[in-house]
Amino acid sequence: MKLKSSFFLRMAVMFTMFGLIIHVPLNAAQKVPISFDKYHGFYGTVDYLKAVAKAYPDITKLLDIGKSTMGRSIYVLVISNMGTGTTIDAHVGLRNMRKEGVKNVIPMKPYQGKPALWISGATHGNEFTGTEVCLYTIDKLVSGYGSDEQVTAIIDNKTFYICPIVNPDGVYNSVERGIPQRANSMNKDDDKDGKVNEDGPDDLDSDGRILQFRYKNPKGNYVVDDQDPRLMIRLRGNQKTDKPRYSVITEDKDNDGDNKHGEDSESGIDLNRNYPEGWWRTDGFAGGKGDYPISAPETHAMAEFVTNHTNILMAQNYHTSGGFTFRPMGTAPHTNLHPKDVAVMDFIMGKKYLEIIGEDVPEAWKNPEDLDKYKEELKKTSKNKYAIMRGYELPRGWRVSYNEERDQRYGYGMAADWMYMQYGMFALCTELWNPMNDIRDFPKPEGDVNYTQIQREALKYQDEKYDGKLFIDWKPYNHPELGEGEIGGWLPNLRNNAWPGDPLRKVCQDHWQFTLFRAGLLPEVVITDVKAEVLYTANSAKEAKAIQSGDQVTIKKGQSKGKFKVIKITAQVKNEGKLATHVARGAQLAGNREDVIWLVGDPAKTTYLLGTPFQKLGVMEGTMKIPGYSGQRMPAAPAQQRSQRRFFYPPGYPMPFMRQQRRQPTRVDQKGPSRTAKWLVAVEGNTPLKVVVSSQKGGTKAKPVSID
Amino acid sequence: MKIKRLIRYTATFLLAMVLVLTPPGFSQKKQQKSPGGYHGELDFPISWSRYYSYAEWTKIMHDIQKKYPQLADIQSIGKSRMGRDQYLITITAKETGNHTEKTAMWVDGAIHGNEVNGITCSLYLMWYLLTRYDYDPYVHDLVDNCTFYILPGLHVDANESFVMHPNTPNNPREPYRPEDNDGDGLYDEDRTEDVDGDGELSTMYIEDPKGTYKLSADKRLFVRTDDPEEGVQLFTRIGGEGYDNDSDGLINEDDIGGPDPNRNFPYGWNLNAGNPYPMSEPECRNVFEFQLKHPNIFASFHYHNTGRLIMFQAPPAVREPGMSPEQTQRMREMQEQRLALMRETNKYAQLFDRQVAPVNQHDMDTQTAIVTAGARILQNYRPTIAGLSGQAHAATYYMLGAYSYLIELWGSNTEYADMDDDGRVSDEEMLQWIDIELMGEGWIDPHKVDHPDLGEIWIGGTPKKHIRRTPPARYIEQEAYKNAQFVMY
Repeated sequence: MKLKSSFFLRMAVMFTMFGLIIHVPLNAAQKVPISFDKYHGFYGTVDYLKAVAKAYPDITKLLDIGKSTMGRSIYVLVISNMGTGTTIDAHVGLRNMRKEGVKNVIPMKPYQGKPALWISGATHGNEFTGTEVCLYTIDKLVSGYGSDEQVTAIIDNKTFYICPIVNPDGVYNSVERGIPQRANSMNKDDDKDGKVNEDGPDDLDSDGRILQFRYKNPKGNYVVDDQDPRLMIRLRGNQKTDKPRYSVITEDKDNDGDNKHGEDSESGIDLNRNYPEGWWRTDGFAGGKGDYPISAPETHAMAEFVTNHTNILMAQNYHTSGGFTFRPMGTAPHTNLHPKDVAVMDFIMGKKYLEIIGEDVPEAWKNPEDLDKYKEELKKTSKNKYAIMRGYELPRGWRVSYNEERDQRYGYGMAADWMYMQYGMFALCTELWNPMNDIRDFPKPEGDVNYTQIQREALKYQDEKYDGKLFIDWKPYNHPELGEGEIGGWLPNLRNNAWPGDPLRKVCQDHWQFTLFRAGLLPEVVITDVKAEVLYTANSAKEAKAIQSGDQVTIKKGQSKGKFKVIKITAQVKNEGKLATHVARGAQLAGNREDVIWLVGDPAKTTYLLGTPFQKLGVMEGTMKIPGYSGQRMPAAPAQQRSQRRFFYPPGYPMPFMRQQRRQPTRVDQKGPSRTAKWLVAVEGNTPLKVVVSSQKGGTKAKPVSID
Repeated sequence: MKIKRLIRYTATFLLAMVLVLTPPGFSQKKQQKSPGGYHGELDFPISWSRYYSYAEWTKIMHDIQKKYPQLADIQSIGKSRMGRDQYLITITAKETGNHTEKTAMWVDGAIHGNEVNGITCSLYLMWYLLTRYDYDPYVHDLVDNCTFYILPGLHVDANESFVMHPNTPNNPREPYRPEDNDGDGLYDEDRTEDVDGDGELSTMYIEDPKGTYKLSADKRLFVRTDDPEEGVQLFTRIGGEGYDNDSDGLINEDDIGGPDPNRNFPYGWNLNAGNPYPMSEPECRNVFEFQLKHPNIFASFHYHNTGRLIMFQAPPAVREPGMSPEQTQRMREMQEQRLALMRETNKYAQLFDRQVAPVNQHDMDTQTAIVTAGARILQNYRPTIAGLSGQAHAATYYMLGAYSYLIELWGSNTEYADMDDDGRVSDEEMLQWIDIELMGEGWIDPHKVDHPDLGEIWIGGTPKKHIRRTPPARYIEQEAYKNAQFVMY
């Protein structure tokens, strides 16, 4: 009796444990804790990334894509199921290679065969709220794998490239050293005095912080606020005042005895003016920053990465502040965008974004089929010719940085424009942080809201909820060159970054939702069906040559090839994702290509009678109907055509037996999300065949052909 | 005692006077004044009758620097994509000043991998300056007062491949960034191969009763024939020598390399020609970074093949507003007349059809004067205004403010080979020229070869490498010394 019950007990325990092992998913839950009560800075971010890569080796990979000026690494964390995915070069065998054997091509990684999303933070060193959002996104992804169905599917089928810090030196200086630095670092003698970086900000009163110094100056541009004497208000242009004028500077003194302070700091160039799109002025001189586009090591690392990872269709670069998103373009007006891309970005992505941040969606977006009606109305009321063209003014929360009313570009050489125009990505620049929206119990001021009012409310709010610790009261200080004054001000990074704690968590959560949404829009190319039909089996030694005339195929006897079957293969592929595999003009951009499908077999035993080994499929549409878009085109600019330099290449010559076909690869001329590709092949014996569909941004899939 | 001191002072004073008042050049102990005399050629002998591999010419550079350390320094300005150093030699007389303090001339060769003529021309200039310093007063002054930055090979990876491996005259040209030329998803997967193993890449033909080519009477050429006689063996032209590496039915459709390096520079850059992004190729980026750090560069020469052109950068054209077609035509005619007049006294005179803003007229005139002299020195070269589109010399002129020149060396052998004076060199004329001038060394006779996929094919009927695009060995020195003269001018 005793034995039996203990046996059953043991069995019961075993079964329970077995059940637990089965039902608890692998890799579930958070293995690396993370807090958003404090900024991570550069080293905190690096530690977290390394810990995550170590804890989740099956779904992450940490890449060091380059070094900043001061030698700090720029990291990209790849998040994708490392056991799934395939790329075309894994399937096509190469033979009779040139003896010289130059190995300049690196085999692709499986995650490059899945549609990808790029996310970056801190292009500007003092805008590291984006870094925190990236880390939050990483945490949600890796912790949700295996437990959350949506997250698991996304990680299995898609790839994330997350670069929390594009500007490591800027972030380090801003967070760890407390000297906000928007630009990257450069070892440059800015004031040409023979010394490099000798005069930057200083902690004058040695309180461990770099704040501000205010002093009375009849030529100054600041006055003290009537309502809150802590607040310094900057006067506009020619604004006159009776109040005593002040100057406000970052805590700094003259370090090199040249009567100037802070003239040669480590600060280098604004990285978001160093990209090649719209970098030049029309008069031929430089408009962007840096000696030439992509001159900075940080932008160079990013450009090289983006060039070598052609599966990126969506991009998101986080900046601060404001609480809205810029979509392309800022360097050129609306007429440079394809109407289809505009429709996708505004009516699909923009609409969701506004819903998430709680702003009103424009009427036109709710009824995009009636755009003509809105265009007519706008003609009467709007001074913005581009809004009239579109049918709507862009709302505050989702807009372009190009100044449409004045027809002026916002700046030169900006990243989102570059990623859209030159790489064919839906690239966004989100300015995170709007204290009024992101601090839950932040009081809503009456009437017109302006920056000063927000500042006043922010000061009061932090008095209550942060114990006044975010703003340091002004304390007298005698400056060595400027005389009597006071040191005080906001803690260096809090004017434009989300406050740690609940406000930061809200910003992160909102943008995590948006990222999930966009990931759900990515294309997904699949092979839906492969049929093989044996038409003809030859036992004699004569080859059959197929001649097509219309849909008729006649098989004639010809030269000897050996014992083989003639098989008709039909492959059906489809893009089951919501969006097309490229942006409107994306496939024509240099470095991009349209979707292709291969039939791979042992070349010694496979003869292609009809249909070339790889066929071109064009760009496969998505399954989602694009609101407000019905096939409008834009004139093809000369820049979109492929270059003519093929003159120098011996163009590929077709093998003689294919001469009856066109020498270009077969083109499958269909529209929409599906394609049907056909081949007629003669195969010797039972040599295996495989169908591989490869879309640059829609993913690659392979399937063997089963022949009865 | 006093007298002794007086004598000592006087002696010192006299000695000082002698040294100070000595005319310059007196220190050139080996100074040579006769054109027929020895100018130091054998002090460091280099044979100009062949092309060198990367290992060989970098060794030449290092050896010559070791022999003239007071005149030259070598550094690597960076590594190529495949890890080869780009060696640059700085030539100036160190005792008269630091190289950064003197006006400098930049010379580079072979930005296009296959245009290796530029390497020999750059090496020649280097050799000329160093060996003749002690003998030639003109070179002496030049090297005392100026700096030369000479980078013989820019695209060193392809330079090496072109010289040492079987290649057509046109490849490899681009840096080795992988590129999918045929849009099949694979990168650089179908390159050229030497099918018959003779060290040359020729053209492949296959016997075909429906073909349109036949062998010439002497069986050394394939000629087109639309009306073949009975019994004549016919061929179809397949294309360049190679295999179908990726079994997609096409041969050599995706060769090594990516963007054109001479479209990778920032000024006038566009995505189609210069992709993926400006200064993406390390070989080009290293050059521009060096130039940025050496603002003493006043002029630059960039060597290319082919065409016998002196392409130069000029200020941007301004369009005269409201000129009617008749006015434009008349202006053109006036210019032609003026040029004809100038040419009566100077057959090398040049005039260019470009209006520039008044502030830039000086630049335009200077360039015109310089290339006029160039036309004279280089004899059969023709000056012409160069384009922008991300080319190296555009960046040098517009961004760095240096007078820049792109020299297309060599050219078709028209005046040598054009026997019937019709302005073209046909295949037969080329063959004859090769037979006589080169003792047949430049031609590939058609012969049968077995191809794994195509079966029995014929290869041949073309000139070899180093004929059309880069000069055969015996012409290397001729191109080199002419161009060195122009640089020094």
